[in-house]
Amino acid sequence: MCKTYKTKEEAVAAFKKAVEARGVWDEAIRKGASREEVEMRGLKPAEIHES
Amino acid sequence: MSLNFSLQSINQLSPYRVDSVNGYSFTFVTRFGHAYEAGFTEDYMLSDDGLVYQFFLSCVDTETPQKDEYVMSTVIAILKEFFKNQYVSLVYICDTHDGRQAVRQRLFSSWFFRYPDHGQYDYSYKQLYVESNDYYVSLICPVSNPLLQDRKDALEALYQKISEK
Repeated sequence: MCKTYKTKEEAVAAFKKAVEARGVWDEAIRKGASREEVEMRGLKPAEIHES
Repeated sequence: MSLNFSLQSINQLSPYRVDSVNGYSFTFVTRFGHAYEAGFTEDYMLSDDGLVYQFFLSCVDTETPQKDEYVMSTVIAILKEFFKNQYVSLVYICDTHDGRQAVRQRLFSSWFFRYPDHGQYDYSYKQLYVESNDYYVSLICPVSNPLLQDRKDALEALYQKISEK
């Protein structure tokens, strides 16, 4: 069963949150933020291992 | 969900040397001296299971980097490594800050269809109109992923709901 939204407002809010993630990401990259700082801003970035 | 990436595998395919200094973003510098950052974050717009990731790609030193085929090849090497993780899907929302999101959408989809193994993946996109802005949302999912139809249905449902009058 796929994820659905009851109202247009809920769908717009979820979409805006996804869009805002880019702003958080870009700012983190510009500032050289640590992974912990990025997570504190609400993002869950994938971990990169050098294996 | 914790993803695994091998920089070694990426660099076997990538024309540019890919590194990660912070453990969450990939960096590479082009022959023209432009630095790029790429990465993935969990996204819950289409699912709550933590298997859908949003992809970011930014040229960090200029708004207008020179055209460079090697950037496409480098990004493909990174995405190929991403899709080695089981059951993951990828969402890409084109940056809208300068109004050039349609150009980015065309470029991103052209990269996809020029990728020789694109038949192994399902690609779909939606144009969403939200608060006076056009957004382009791409969804890429391996055809072997049992969650493919669920992801496509979720994107369609989101589009339908947002498009309601």
